[in-house]
Order: sequence, then C-alpha cells, then structure tokens
Amino acid sequence: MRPEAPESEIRAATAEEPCLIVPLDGTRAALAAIPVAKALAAIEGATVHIVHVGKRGLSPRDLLEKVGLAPEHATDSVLQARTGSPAEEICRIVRERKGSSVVMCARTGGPGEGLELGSVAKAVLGGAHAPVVFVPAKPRPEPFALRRIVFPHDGSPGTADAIGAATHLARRAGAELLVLHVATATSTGEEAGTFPPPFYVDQPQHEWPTWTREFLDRLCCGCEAPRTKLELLLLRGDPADALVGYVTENQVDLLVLGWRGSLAPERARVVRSLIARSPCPVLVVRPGEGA
Amino acid sequence: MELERGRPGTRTRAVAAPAPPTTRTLPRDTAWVLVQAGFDARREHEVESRFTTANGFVGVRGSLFEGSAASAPATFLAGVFTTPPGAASVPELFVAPDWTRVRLGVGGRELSLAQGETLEHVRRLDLRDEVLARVWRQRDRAGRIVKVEEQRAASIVDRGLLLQSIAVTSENSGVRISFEEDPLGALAGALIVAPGHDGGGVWTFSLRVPGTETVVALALASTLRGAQEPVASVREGAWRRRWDVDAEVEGTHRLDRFVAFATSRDHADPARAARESVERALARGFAAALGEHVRASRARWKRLGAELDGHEPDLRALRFAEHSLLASANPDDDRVSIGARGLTGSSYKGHVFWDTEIYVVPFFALTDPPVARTLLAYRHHTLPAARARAAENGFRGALYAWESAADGRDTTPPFALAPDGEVVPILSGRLEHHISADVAYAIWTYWQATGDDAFLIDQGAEIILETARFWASRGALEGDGRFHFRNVIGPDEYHERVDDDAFTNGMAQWNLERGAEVSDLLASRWPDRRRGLAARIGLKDDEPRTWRDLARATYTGFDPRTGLIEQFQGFFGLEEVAFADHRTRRVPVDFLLGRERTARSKVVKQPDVLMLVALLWDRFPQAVREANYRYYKPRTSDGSSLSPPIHALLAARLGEGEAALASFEQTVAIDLEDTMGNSAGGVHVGAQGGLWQAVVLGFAGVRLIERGLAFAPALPARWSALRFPLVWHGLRIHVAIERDPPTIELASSGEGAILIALEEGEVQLLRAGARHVARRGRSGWGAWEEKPHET
Repeated sequence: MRPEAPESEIRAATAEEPCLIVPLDGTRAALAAIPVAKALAAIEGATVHIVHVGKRGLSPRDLLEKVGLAPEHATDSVLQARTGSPAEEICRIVRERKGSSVVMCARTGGPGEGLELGSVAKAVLGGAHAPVVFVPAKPRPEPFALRRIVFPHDGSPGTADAIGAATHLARRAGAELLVLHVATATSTGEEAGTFPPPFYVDQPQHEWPTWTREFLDRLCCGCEAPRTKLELLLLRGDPADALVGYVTENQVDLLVLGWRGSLAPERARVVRSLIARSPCPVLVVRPGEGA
Repeated sequence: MELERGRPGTRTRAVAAPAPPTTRTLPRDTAWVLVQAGFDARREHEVESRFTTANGFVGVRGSLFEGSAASAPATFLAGVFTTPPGAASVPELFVAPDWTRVRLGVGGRELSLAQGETLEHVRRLDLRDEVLARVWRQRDRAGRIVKVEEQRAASIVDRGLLLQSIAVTSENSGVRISFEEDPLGALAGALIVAPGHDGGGVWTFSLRVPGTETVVALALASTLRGAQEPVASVREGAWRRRWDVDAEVEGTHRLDRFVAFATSRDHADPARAARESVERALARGFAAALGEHVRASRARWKRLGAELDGHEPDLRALRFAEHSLLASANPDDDRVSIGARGLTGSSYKGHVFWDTEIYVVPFFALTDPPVARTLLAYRHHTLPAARARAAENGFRGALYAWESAADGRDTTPPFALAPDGEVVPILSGRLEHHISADVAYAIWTYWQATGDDAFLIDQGAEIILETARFWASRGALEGDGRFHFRNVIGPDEYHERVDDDAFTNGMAQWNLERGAEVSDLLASRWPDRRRGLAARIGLKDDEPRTWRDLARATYTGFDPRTGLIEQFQGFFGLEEVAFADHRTRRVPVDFLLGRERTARSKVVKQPDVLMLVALLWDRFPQAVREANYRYYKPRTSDGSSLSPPIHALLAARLGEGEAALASFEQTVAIDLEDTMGNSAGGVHVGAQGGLWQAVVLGFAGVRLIERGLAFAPALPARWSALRFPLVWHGLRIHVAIERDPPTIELASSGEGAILIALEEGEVQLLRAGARHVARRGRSGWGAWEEKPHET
C-alpha cells in the first residue's frame, strides 16, 4: 500500500500522508467498502476519504445523505464531493494524493453491470495507477478483520512485485500470509523468468521442500524486507476456479493480486475472474505500486 | 605490495602490480566454457549450482563472494553430515563456513550489484582448467567505476586446498579500496571448538559439526598485492580482517586467498593438516598453486575427456557432464560415495542412492577405474549396516539402504510434506530393495572392465554373495513353482507395494546367478580365500546351488507371445492414461492425476522394464528389446532426471535416432537450462552420468562382452565425429568414430589385449599398441583392419 516506515516512527503531516479513497455512488452495495477501508486505514495509519462524484456539488451533510451513510460511520473520515465523470475524478484524486489507494465495490449493480467488474471500477483500475481494493457487493456477514491474507502467484516475475504489498500488510496487521500457486497441466506461454511447478518430483521427500523453498525465494528476492513468514500451498486445475474455490471454502480476509496492467480478455482472465467472484476483498497491485 | 603474512597491522613492502588474473585462463574454444552473463536474482540459485567448483572432497557453490539477497552460498565437505534437531530429521550435508565471503569497500561504501549501475557482469566456468572466473564492472552512485576480477578453484592436486583471487581496479578515480574478510561470519560463536591461531601467517579455526564428534578445521592465509601500500590493515574481533588501500586511477590491488579444509575423519589433527596445506601453497605462491591445479586438470581431461565434432552445445554439455562427475568423486577417500547432487547443492541432503552405482560408476569403471573402486569401496565399508538392515527386516544377507549418508544406515525421510498439503508416506526406504542388486551389478561391471581381482576377492565378492543371500531370503517359492518377490517398489515409484516388479525380479535373478558364479570363481581360482570368506560370513556349501535354482525359478513376467515383460503383476490391466510429453507438460503426471489414480494407471515414472533391458541387454533378443521399448517408452512420463538418459541410450541402440537425440537434449537441458525447475538444489550428478552413458554406451554402442568390448556406432546426424578414451583391464583404448563415411578406429596403448566386436559380429583380438579400423558399407560393418599405429 505504501512504503513501510519503522513502527515507532511518528510521521510528520505531509501532503503525501496515506489515504484510502472510498468512492460511494449512493447504492447500498457501494457501502460494503466502508468497513474494509476503515480496517485497512487503522492498520496503515491512513485517513479514509469518502468521495462522491455527481452532477452537482454537495455539502458534507448532503453527501452523507446521498451515499446513505450515517454521520457516526464517517468519524475520522474526510468527505469529498466532486462533479464530473466518476472514474476520471477518482483517478484525479489519486494523482493529487500520492501514496493513496482506492477501496471500492467491484460492482454496485448500476445500469448494465452484470457479474463482471463495474464500469467505474474497471476505469479506476485501469487509470488510477494506485493499489485498488475491490470489495464484493455482498460481503461476508462477520465484521472485516485482516487475519489471513492470500497471495496467488503464477511464478512470473511480472506479478511477483506485489508480494511487497502483501508482506507489508501482513506485518502491519499481524496477519498470516499464504502464497497460492495453481499448477496447470500444460504450458500456455509464459513470461520469461517464470518459475514453473516442478516438471517432475522424483523423490518427493527431497524435491518438494527444495522446490517450495526456491519458489518462495524467487518470489521474495525483489522484496526488500521479506521478514514475514510465508507458507506455500499448491493447487491443481484451472487457476481462476481453483483460487475462487479455495477462497470460498476457507477463511480468507484479503486476496492480494499482482497485475501486469492489462484487462484484455486473453491477458487478465484470472484477475478479472477473481475480482468478480471472490467472496473476500481483492487488492490489485501493479508492478511498482506496492510497498 | 605484499602484507607480511598473518601480521595484520604491520607495514608491508611494495611489489609489482599484479597482472589481471582472468584473461590468462579463458580458452579460445568456447565449448570449454560455461558462461553466465548479467545477474538475475531469481535464477541465482541454479547458477550457483552450475558454477560450483568442486574436487570430490570439497564443493563450493558459485555464489557471489560479496553476497547478495539472492545468494545461497555453501561449502560442502564429502562425508561430513549433521542431523538437525527434530524427531523426523535425517542426516544432511554439513554446510561449512562461507569462506568465500569478502566485502569490498569503495570510497567507504560497500560494493554490491544492488547499488549503482552494473556495467559488466560475467561468470565463466572453464571446464578444462576447472577454474571459475568472474568479471564485474560497477559504477557506484558517485560515478566511480571499479573492475573486479575473481578466480576460484578447488585444487585437484591438494584436495583440501581452495584458491581465490580478487583483483580490484579503480578505472576512473583515485579512491580508497577496502577488502574485508570474515571467514566464519555468524557461524563462529556456535561452532568454534578451537580458537583461532594466526602463527606463521596462517589462521586456523576448528569447528565441531553439530550433533557429531566430527571436527572441521579451516586454515586461511591472504596476501594483498598492488601498487600502493595499505594505509590500514586491521584485525577486527576474533575472525575479521580488513585492508584499506588508497588506489590510484587504473591501479589494481589483488587479494590472493589460500584456504584449506581438513576434518577429523581424515586427520588426527585436522587443524595442523589444514594449516600445512595452506603453508605449502603459500610457499609456492598463488600463481604456482593455481598453475599446478590447472595443469593437473588439463592432463586429466587429456586422459579422460570425450570429444564430438559438429555441434558445439552438445560438446559443451558432454564436457559439463564429465566435469560434474569428476568434481563429485574423490579418488583418495574410499569411505564416501556421491550424493544425488554431488557437492553442488543441499537438495537430497548429500544422500547416496542407486544413482552412483548405475549411473556414475560406469563412467569411472571405463575411464578412471581407481575412482570407481573407491566409490564401490563405500559399499564395502557400509556392508555391516546393510547386513543389519536385512536382519532388522527379517532377511538374511545384505540389504543396502535406499538412501544413506556416512555410515550406510538408512536415511530416507519417512514422509514428505507436499505443498498441496498432502503428507506423503515415503515407502521407498522400506521397499525399494533393488538397490542391493544394483550395488552387486556395479561391482561386477567394474570387475569385468578392470579385471581387478584384488578388489573382487577383498571386497566385491563379499558384497555379491551377501546380496545374493538377501534375495534368496527376500523372495518366496510359491505353489506355482516360481520364485516371487512381493510387496516391493521398483524404479517406477508411481506404483508402490507391487508384486514381482520386472526390474527388481530381473536384477534379483541376475544377482542370485552372480552370487553362485562368484562362489564358483573363488572356489576355482582362490580356494583359500573362498574358505576364509565363507567361514567369515557363514556361507554354507549348498547356498550357491540354491541361488541358481531360485534364479531359474524367478518369475519374470515375460510373455513369449508378445515379447513383452509385464512391469509387475496386474500392470497390463491398469488404466491407459494419455499425458502430454515434456515439451508442453509443466507438472508431474502423478501430481495432476493424484497419487491414487496414477497408481491405478499405466503411467510409468521412469524406465523399469526398459532399465532392465538397458542393464542386461544381452539377455534379451532384439525383438524383445524393440517390443518393450515401443510399449513402455510412450507410457513413461520422465518423472525423474534419471529417465531421459536411459531412453536416449536405448533409442540410440535400437536405431531410433530422432528419439535418441530428443531424449539426449532433454537430459542436457536438465541442468544447463534448469528445465525441470530444480537445479537450484544442485546439479543432477546421476543424470550427468547418464548423459555420458547415452553418448558412449548409446550413440557409440559400447557394451562389455566376454573378455572385451563391442561397439555399435549410430551417431546423430549433427555429429560428424565422436572420440573418447576407454580403459579395459589396464589397456587404454582410444575410440574414434566418423559419421560420414561411417568409420570406427580403435587405437590401444599400455599392456595386454582385448577382444573387440562390432554390433553382434565376430570378435577380433586387439593387442596393445595396435590400431584397428572398420568401415560401414551398404551391407553393414566390414571386418576390422589392422593399421600401422600413427605417431
């Protein structure tokens, strides 16, 4: 989410103080982002900025009324009402506030929105150039707490960078961090430098520990402070199905995804599928945007 | 200048600036050199494995001497194991202190690849000289450019000795350069049993290997040479030493380091032995010590090296294979064998498997027999453990451990925790018994190739008799009149607890026959020795006869109608499962299917029936060889690095040229391209031995026959020639094969004579000093023609 500071350091107030931007469009679904943003803000020492972008400007009180938020739920938050295109304004705020992240509902059920990423969410993901946390419209009933983070990783260097964000959050929250890798039957063309599953496991008592260690070592070798204990779990099958299945059947509080920056159908199937189908929030991080 | 040895802080005298150390050793023939340009942190571990310098006693991974976040340096000593705490722990190779570590300071800042800009970074492993060289040019954040050149070698003249030279040249500034060595690092406090000794310019330290009585001593001396005198030479704490020099522009300063390891396994006073080793090298000087090693290495290549023309990458791969084998074996120590990854990495914990006997020993038996003998002697030293293991399991004779370390006891981990969360019970340690026959097979092969009667009488015969005795007790003569081996695991470990595994039964049968034959041989040629041996091991007179009877009765699974050998009882009734081949598949077949379904399928992990065909080639008619190759090859998933080279060997012998080359390439890529994704844990020494076999026993078709050797050349289209040396009963034979026109030439030297044959043709006598040539025409190979010996 942002470069880590020593735990004991008291930061000076600056224009780059971290903030979590929470766009709310007035739908009930959008409010699902609030508890997640508040929990993450507490972990990060960040401020929550509640943003509404409409056709006309709103006073803070009108904004709260418009988005359906009780004043007591906006404590310690900054309210921002903007006019214009929602996605463009959200991206503008991100540019204005360096070190910010976005927490938003993946789809709020607006016109034309099906099971895929909503139009604003999609535009923000593509244009914000900041980490984005997508919250499912129907979150789990229990209060959000960051106890277990899962980092799916395909072994490619291009998505390994995001492990920095995952380890950072895990350390701050004292959360467990699990790396998931899905082994697929055949190679479908990989980024150079990708570390694949073992082609064979000759003597499993030796091969599996070695491969696991190497997989995690390669994942973390670009990470400046990989002090968090990592565990690796290997799954089989279609990556999207296997990952969604795991997250659905296990208590996972946050998925952290490395993303190369393309939403082209053939490039980001797993990312799009996870954002659309994950029952827990999904943090999407592009190379260079994480901790 | 040169520091007064071992007297940090003293003034030194100036000497001539050293020559750049790396250029001298770079051969023009690039087929001798492995090159790794640049630095990729994510692939660093596999590079470290590949660029290991080793001499069979000590192995040093090719890690960056200055360290990095991605580095996994390790120095291993053959036969030195430690057992970590934990109920399920097994011995693993001890990792000795990282003596290679030297910090470089430039203008007060530590030099590293992570800071500033890397202008050049190349590592070259010169296989001919067995020297690892590195050139590194780095521009720091202040714009200063320094060039660093390193050389590293594990001496094959004095196997305890390691040499390292680090030369630093300031290219564009006058700057203070610091060299700081810290040979023990964080390990020191925990392990030191004898404090440092810096008398006579050599520091020595003794460490106790945790959990053992083994003491490892390290001796170290360093000399700094350069145009400028050091402004400071400081000893910091007990182990750390630093030199500061104010380098002028283009000034070079070189730290030459002499390091020696010795252990209490070999020496009553290891510290003294290590120190004396360093002192001897110091007395000669760095260049001389390195030069001796280089000359010895080149001479060894001249004696043992195989060559091929027409395809440089294949030649380099062949040399890398031989290099890996040579670097793993110590001809001076017959109490150690070769771990699955040699001394190149920690994977497989340094444990010894059947890899050594079946994949590695043939190379040495046919090129450097004394080394083969030391490897086999390990099995004699560990025979008591094998006897105890047989007894513990209710059998007689000797049952070798599936995995073993220093003393031969079984070290197979009892389970594996797979990353999919499955706890996999490991049954190979309990049921993969064919290793006992594999050991006997290697001993017999060695004796056939060398005629080393003394070894057979003193050590080999005892092993062959005791393993035959094991098989006699391991099987059961059942109601069908056949001798069965039930509840075993063959090389195809996808199928556990099977009955009558073809390889196990075939090798057991062979072992029973050889047991009887050895007994007869001893009785006829060395009756006194046989009586003594029989008395010592309690061999009854009727045992060998029983072994013959049991061998005749052994169930083979052979179907004369099809020519197929059933891999184990019920195999032909299992499910057919198609799987993608290695070019597109990216995970193990057993992982995709799951262990249970794999066990119910005909998917074979690695050659089992075909392994038997490869080892006992002459037992099977050509039609049987071909039928089984056609049946089992497509069902074998290459689930082991040991699989492709055997397929290459068999395919070459069977005239399947394209398939042979494909399997050969697959073998090459295992370590040179890390295609199996596990070279980070070390080089696959067994596969490298298999690669050599694919070339010599496969493409050249070399086979041991009664009193000689047979050849059946079938070179790949991209090779124009293949040349290699062989040793048979002390006779040195140089084999030269040309592809077009097909020609084979044998030139012998030394003493004695050998029978030679082409394919299945008639044999002919080749005497020492003679040269024989044969040519292949349209109707096949012609007769050998004797030619004048060329000088």
